[in-house]
Amino acid sequence: MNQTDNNLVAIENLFKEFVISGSFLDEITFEKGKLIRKRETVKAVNGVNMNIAQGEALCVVGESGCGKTTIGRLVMGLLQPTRGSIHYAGQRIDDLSRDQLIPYRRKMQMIFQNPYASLNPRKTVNYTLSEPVAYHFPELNKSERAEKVAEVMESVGISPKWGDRFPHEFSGGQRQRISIARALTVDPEFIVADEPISALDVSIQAQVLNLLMDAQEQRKLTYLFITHDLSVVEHFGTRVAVMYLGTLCEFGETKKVFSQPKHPYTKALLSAIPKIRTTESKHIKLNGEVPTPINLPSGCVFHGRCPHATDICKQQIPELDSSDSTHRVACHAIAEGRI
Amino acid sequence: MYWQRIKSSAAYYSFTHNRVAMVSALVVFIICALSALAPIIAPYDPWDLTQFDIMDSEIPPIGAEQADERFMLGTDAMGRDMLSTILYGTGISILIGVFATLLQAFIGITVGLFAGYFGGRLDSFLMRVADVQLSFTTLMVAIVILAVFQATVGLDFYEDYAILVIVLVIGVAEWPQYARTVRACVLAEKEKEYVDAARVIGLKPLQIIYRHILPNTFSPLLVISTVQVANAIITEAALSFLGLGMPVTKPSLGSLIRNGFEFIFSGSWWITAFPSLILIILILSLNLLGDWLRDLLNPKMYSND
Repeated sequence: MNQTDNNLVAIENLFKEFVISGSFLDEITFEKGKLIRKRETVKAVNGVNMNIAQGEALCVVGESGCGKTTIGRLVMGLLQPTRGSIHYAGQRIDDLSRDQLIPYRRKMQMIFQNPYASLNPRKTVNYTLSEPVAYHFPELNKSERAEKVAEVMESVGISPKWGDRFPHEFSGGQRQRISIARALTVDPEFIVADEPISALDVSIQAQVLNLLMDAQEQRKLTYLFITHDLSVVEHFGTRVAVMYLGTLCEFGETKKVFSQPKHPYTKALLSAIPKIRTTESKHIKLNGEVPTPINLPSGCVFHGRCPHATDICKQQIPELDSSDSTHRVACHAIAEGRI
Repeated sequence: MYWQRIKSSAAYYSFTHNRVAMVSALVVFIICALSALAPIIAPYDPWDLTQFDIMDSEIPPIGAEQADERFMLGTDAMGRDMLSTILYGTGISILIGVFATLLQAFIGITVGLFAGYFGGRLDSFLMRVADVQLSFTTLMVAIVILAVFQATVGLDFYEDYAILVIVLVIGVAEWPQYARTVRACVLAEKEKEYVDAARVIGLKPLQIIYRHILPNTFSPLLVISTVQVANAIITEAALSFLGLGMPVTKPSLGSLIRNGFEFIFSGSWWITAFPSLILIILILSLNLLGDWLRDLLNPKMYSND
């Protein structure tokens, strides 16, 4: 990565595999007269390199199951990576213990996808919001804490008067605002937003998105924004990372990626955005389905569906090319100048 | 404020519109209240040997021939007033039922929370222990422990600590019920995003378990608790009936039934009949109440979200 100077988060060669074959005894099979231990894993993230610059909103897009949520959870330390490393402000954080992570918890927060599950149904809004404050700012007394909570509630458009209410008394959009408020109470620098608007009504999506953008401006936040909504990316992201089957296929400034997509998958993805006033259908139709992440295709994971695939695509895993640091793509065909 | 909240809740509505639930709650309440007030309202003190006379033995209840108006429900073979004895005995039965359930809940909830949250080997180990515990029936465990205990410490000592020992035995024998229910709940709850949010805040596992997960397992616990109280009372009655429960000097409902059983063929039916009736009514009401709670908290009928 070239922009190491202002990198807040750096993800290097990150792998995450989930074991699905069960316990040790389940893994042992008898094959051709031999006892063999077979371990089945879902390869959710495969060698992702990514950097997030201070103050930007990096959007990760991709279809369901491409590993974008897993990356968010790995960055937040909710999951342990199988291989690779994650650095925050120059410090490696993926191998820290829970206690060692606490100072980072104050700087990194997360907003979740489902506003109906991300708030504890048995706790009042006040409790939910003051718990992180009490935990990370033990020096504040009760009234200072209440003041801080009220201030944050105000800033997300939830009246502090509603603090005694329970989550079920709010609508989905209001809950997501409370969820955002919880992340903001500890004054973080970096927020992982895991599809924060995909569970909301379209009319509410814009409001919440604007709230997130206002918060970014006022608090100088950096976002890792995970979404599958491409129109949101165009509106929100400074840079975009396109993922397919756990690998990064294109990574660059939003404008460049949207105006001149290079990777065949990105082209197909962008052509799928519904447009008003088009007579001719320009959809690029891909053949087949996304292969299973249990048995990854060899070489480029996209080769089975790619119209430009050749032998090298089946054998060698393409790397992100580094010729243009603002728009990088991992594709043999482009590297060879075939497309 | 709180009363308002209760009044507007779905539980209150369901309760006031369910006659069975109301009647059984009322019955349970009356029985509990009467037995709690036993020292005040009972005409005699059945634990005080000086207050009864062997000459008054086996007097039938009012309404029968040779009844004595001093003893409304008659007397037992030792001349004790049945009404007072039942009032005191019901109290003991309920006390054992409640405290044994509390002990079960304490052990079971702790085990269930840890097994469910931490998973892996700890989960397998604790749940196998629970399976082993369940493979011995409660009665069998209780009989063995109580018989050994009575034989080793002697009856005099046993009489003083009978309640404690029975609570311990029933409490330890039935904890897997709670452990399994709580574990199942925790497995569902810990996947929800509010638990991730608590982890992202940096809370310790214990704080997450007790502050966030435990309160969300209360609904099913409430249901099994009513049933478990009823079960504990029955178990105690069964043990007492076998002569291993409460001693004759401080009888519970079970020991009263057993005492009277010896005289049932000589015509003194009331010594067994009245305690049995109270036991049946109490257990039935508790179970009906548990049924209502189960229906109420069933997520398919009423969402608690």
